Parts: sequence; C-alpha cells; structure tokens
Amino acid sequence: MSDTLLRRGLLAGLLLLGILLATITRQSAPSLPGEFAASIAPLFGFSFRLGQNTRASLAAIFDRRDLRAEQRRMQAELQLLRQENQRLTLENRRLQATLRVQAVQGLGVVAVAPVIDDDPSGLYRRLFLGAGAAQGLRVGMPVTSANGLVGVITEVTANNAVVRTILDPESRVGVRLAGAPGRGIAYGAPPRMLRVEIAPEASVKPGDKVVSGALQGLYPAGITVGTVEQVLPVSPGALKKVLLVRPAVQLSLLEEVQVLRPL
Amino acid sequence: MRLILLIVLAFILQGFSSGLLGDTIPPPDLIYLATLLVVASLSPFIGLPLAFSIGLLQDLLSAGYPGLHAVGLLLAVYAYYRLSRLVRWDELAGQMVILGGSFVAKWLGIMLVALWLRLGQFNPLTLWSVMVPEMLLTLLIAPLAFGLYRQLYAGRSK
Repeated sequence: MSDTLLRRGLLAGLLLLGILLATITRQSAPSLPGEFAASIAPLFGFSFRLGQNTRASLAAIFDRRDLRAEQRRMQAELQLLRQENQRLTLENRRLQATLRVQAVQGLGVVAVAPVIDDDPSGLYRRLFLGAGAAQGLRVGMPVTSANGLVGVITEVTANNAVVRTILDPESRVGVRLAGAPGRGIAYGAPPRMLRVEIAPEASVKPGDKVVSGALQGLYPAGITVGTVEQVLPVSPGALKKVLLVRPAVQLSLLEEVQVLRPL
Repeated sequence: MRLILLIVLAFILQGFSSGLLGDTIPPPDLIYLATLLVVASLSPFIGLPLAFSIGLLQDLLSAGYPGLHAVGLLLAVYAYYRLSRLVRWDELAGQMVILGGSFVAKWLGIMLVALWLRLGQFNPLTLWSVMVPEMLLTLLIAPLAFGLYRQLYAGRSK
C-alpha cells in the first residue's frame, strides 16, 4: 500500500516538476533548448542527414526505374513512328513517281497499282497487279512507270489485272528514235531485250534512246522504251534494220506501276 | 552502460528514421520504445525518474518546451507499469494493449502540458494525422524491437 502511494507520489511530483519546468522556461524556451540542441546537434544530426541521404538515394533509384519504364515506352513509340515513317516514305515515293509520270509523260493516271507477282513460266513476261476493275482498270490500258513504258493490261478481274509487258514475245510496240527520224516496231525478246525493226535508212547507233511513237497504237507517243544496245549488221537487200534495245524499265524490280487512260 | 548506449542508439535511429521518412509519414517513436525497454527491467522508483529524464533530454535536443516530452514519457511509463500488472505481456494481444495504452498515455501527457502552456496547435484535432500513423508504426515495430533487445540481452548475459 505504501509502495503504491509512494509510486503515485513520485508520479505526481515528477508531473508537477515537468509542468513547472515548462512554465518557468516557456519565456526562454526558444533560446534555452535551442542553444542546447545546437551544441548537441552535430552529434545526432549526422544520423538525420544519413537518413535524408538514404531517402534521396532510394528516390534516385525509383526515379531511375521510372525512367527505364519511360524509356521502354518511348522506344516502343519510336518503333511505331519508324514504321509509320517507312510507310509514309513508300507512299511518298509512290506519289512522286506518279507526279513524275504525269509531268514527264503528260498523261492521265487512272490508278497506281502494286505489282504483286510476275509470270512464273519464263516464257511470257507478264506482271500481275494488285488492282483490277474495282479500282477502274480496264483491258487495253497502257501501263507505265517513271522510268519508262511497262506494257498493256490484257486481263482484268475484280481486284487483279494482268499486264503484258513490252518484253513479252507477243508484245508489239510502235516506236521511233528519240533523236533522229525513223520509226519501227519493238518486239519482245525475252529474257531482257527488245528487238526493234526499223527502216534501214535510219541513222542509229548504240546509246540512242527509243520511245513509243506510233500515233494510233496502244501506247501514247513519247514514252521512253529503252536504249539501243546493239545495231545488227544489215544484209544487202534487207528491208529492215534490226536493233537490240535494252528496256528502260527493269521489270523484275518494279513495285508499283501507273496505269494510264487508254487512247 | 548498456542502457545509456541503448538510449543514444535510439536517438541516433530516431534521427535516421526522421530523415528517411521525411515529411511523408511521421516516424515511429523509437525513443519511447527504448525508454520502455530500459524501464521494463527496473523498478518504478527508478524507471519513472529515468523516463522523465529521457523525455527532458528529448525536449532539449528537439529545441522544444522542456517538460513536454518529459511528462509524456513519464505518463507512458506509468501506464506501462500499471497495464503490465493487469494484462499478460507474453501474448501479442496483451503487448498491443500495454503498448497502445502506454502510447495514448504519452500523448495525454504531452496534451496536458500543452494545455497548461496554452499551446493552441497541440490538440488532437490538429495532431491526429501525426499521432495515428506514429502509433501504428510504433506498435508495428515494437515486437521486433523487444524481441531483438531480448535476444541481444540474453546473448550478453550468457
């Protein structure tokens, strides 16, 4: 019992002492404990700064993790943009080619069609287009590219078309020399040449340009057909001079062609 | 000597946890826990003045009103002694009751002095956002701190 009383007495005494201390030092509280704290601060302050530095380090680590996630996100976005850029570059190339055809050849382009396949037989030289009647293509429409004449459409389905190229053995193109008088007919001579028969009086040499030229043929006049590579010797009494002409268009590398309004 | 080291370590760790947690969340009251650890093995006649002294030191170190933490820790330790006789410390629920009651007593002591000094900002309505997280964090780490101290103390004793 006396123990409890003593304990309570001690508690009450210390409580009063605490309140008394707080009351007495209230006026000087900002200066007295402050001075004491300032003199002791370096002793305990380092642990506070250590904690702050640890926190800053952790924040830096988490920030770096955030940055990594951000980097991954941006890389994915960059990949998408690159693909979009690639698509736009191809689109741009296609439109530029169309503009070039229109500017150089001065013709109405009906459609720009992708080349989806070529004739696998090796005998014929035909191309298959990924566009057909639904896109406005019709049989007899000339097909060209920025580099030169490609051929003519011979078959059309709803979404596909077949082009008989100028290299096809069945192809006949009315041609003339670009820099000199003389007209003739270009026959397809697979695998990669044209055989042009022209008047024997025509003055022609290797390197001369050959363009489409027949006025009422399938093809518009003035489209580049190819370059003379060889002039075969004319035998006495021959009615034609034979030229071997390399086509201006590399058919195997064609990706897209321009289909022109028929004559 | 060990008790002094424990108190010094508690002040150092309190500073560290304050710096670590910053303004986001109030740190656990490690000095309060260390005080309980110290007085647990002492009689109330030594434990109560010791708790008062540690609280006074805390007031001086934190440049506060001398008596604020002193009375807070005094009442906390008194409540600890009283509750320890009523509830079994061996069970976790008992520990939570003793520590929770003691922690509330600490804040009652602080409030009492604050009321006496007419410190308007020291009231439960404005300080609940400090008191509640501090109490939860303190109670959360208390079993760990007590267990660690017991292991170290047992190790030294052997």
